[in-house]
Amino acid sequence: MWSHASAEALKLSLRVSIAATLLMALIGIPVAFWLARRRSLLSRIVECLVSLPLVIPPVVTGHLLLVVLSPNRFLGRRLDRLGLRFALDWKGAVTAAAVVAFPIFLVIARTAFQRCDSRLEDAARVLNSSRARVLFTITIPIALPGLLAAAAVAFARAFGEFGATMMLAGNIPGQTRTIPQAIYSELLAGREGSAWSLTSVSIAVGVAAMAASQMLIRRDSRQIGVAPNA
Amino acid sequence: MNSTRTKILLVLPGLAFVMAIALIPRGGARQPGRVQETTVLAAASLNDVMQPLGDKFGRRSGIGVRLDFASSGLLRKKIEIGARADVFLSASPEEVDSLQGGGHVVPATRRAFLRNSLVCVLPRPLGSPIARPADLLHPAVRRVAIGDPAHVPAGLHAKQALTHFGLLDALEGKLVPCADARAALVQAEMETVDAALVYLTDAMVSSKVRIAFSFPEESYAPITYEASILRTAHDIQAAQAFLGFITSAEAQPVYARHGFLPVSGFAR
Repeated sequence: MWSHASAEALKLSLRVSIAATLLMALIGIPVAFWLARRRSLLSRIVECLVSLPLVIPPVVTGHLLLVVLSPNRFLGRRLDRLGLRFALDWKGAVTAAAVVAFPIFLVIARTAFQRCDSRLEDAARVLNSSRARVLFTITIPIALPGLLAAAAVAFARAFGEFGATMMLAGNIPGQTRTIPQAIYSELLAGREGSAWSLTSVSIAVGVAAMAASQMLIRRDSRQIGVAPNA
Repeated sequence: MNSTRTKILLVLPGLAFVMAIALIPRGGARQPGRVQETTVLAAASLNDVMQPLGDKFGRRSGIGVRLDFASSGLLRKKIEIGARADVFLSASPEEVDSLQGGGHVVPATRRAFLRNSLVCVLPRPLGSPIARPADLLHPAVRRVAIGDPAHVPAGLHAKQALTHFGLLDALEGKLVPCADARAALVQAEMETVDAALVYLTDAMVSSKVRIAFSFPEESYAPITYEASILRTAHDIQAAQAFLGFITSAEAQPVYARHGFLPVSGFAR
C-alpha cells in the first residue's frame, strides 16, 4: 500500500517540516531567551500573540495567513513581485507549519532557558567574560538539551499540520500535498489502505519525537541535578 | 514555581470544563411536536440555487429544509459512513450509482434534474489573451484551479476537457486541486490562481472573475445532476415533497436564472 504518491508526500512532509523547524529555531531561540530573562508587559503581549495558534482553530490561523499573504493583498502582492509566493506554494506550507508549531517550540525553549541558572551567567560576567562569550559558553550549552527537545516536538507538530496548510498552501500533489493532506485525499478517493500506511508513518514520527524529547529532558535534569518537574 | 499561579492554572481548565457541560443544550435538537424537517446533502455548485428554493419550499409546505453543501464525492463518503440525511443532490450520477450499489439510496426515487457546463474564468486580465484551452499553456498562467478530480465531479470534467485537447500532461504541474467546485472559484476570486476551470453557474455567481472561454460540450462527459432519497431518510414524505418541488415546472425559471440547463431533451 506504499505508492509513488505516498513516497512523494513523505519526502515533501520531511522537507517542509525540516524547513519549518529551522525557521522556528532561528526566530524562536532569541525570542525564548528574551522571554525567559525579561518579564515585562511587552514580553507578555508578544508571548500571548505568538501563542495564539495553539488555541485558535488552525483553519483560522490559515485564513489569517492567507488574507495577509494572498497575491491580491498589500503584502502578498509586494512579495509576489519579489518572486516570493506563499499561497498555494510549498513556502506557504512551511509558513503555516512554522506558525502553528511555534508556540510549542517557544514554551519548551523558554523553559530550557529559565532552568539555566542566571547566577552562573552572573558569575561568568563578574569574571570578565563578554556577554556573547557567556551566551555561547554557558547559557546555550546548558539549555541545549531543552532546545533540542523543543525542536523535536515542534518538528512533529509541523509534520502533522493540516488545517492552516490546507488554507494557505492547498493540496497540490508533489508541491503542497504533505502527509496529512495526502491522508485526507486518499480517504476521499476511497483508498483506505494507502491512508492507513500514511497514518502509521504519522504516528511513528509523533512517537519518535516525543520519545526523543523525553530522553533529552531526562538527561538534562540529571546533568543539572534537579528533578524533572522542579 | 509560584504555587498560587500553579493553582490558578489548574482551576481554570476545570472551570472551563464545568461551564462547557452546563452550556450543552438539554434534550437534543429534535423535540416532540416540532415542525417537519428534511435534511438535504447537496453538491457545492447547487449552493446559490438551492437556498432560495429551500426557503420557498419551506414557506409553502411548512417543512424546514436543512442544506449541507460539499463535493459530491465527499457527500457520498458521508452517506456511506452513516450520515443521517433524507435527500442527496449529486453533481454526478456515478456517485449515486456507487451508493445504490451499497444499498444507500432508494433506486425508484433517482432522477436527473439539471445540467451544467464548463468554463474557464480569470480573476484579472493577463498579459496575453486567454481565449481558448491551448492558451492556458502560456507562461503567464502559473496556476489553474480545478475541483479535486478524486472526489469533485467538476474536477473530473475539467480533466476530461483538458485530456480532450491534449493539454493534461503539459498542465499537470499548474493544476491546483480544490475541495469542491466552489472552492476552485474562490481561489480565482482570491487571485491565488491565474485561472480556474469551473461550472458556468459558479462563474455567474461571482462578480470578481470573468469568463475567458467555454469548453465545447463534446470535450467532456455530460454534467448531470441527480436527486435521490436515501434509505436512512426519517421522513420519506417530506423528502418526496421536496424532490417534487425542486423538479417542478415552478422551479425551472430559478434554475434558468442561475445558468443551469434543463435535463429534458438531453440524451445520456
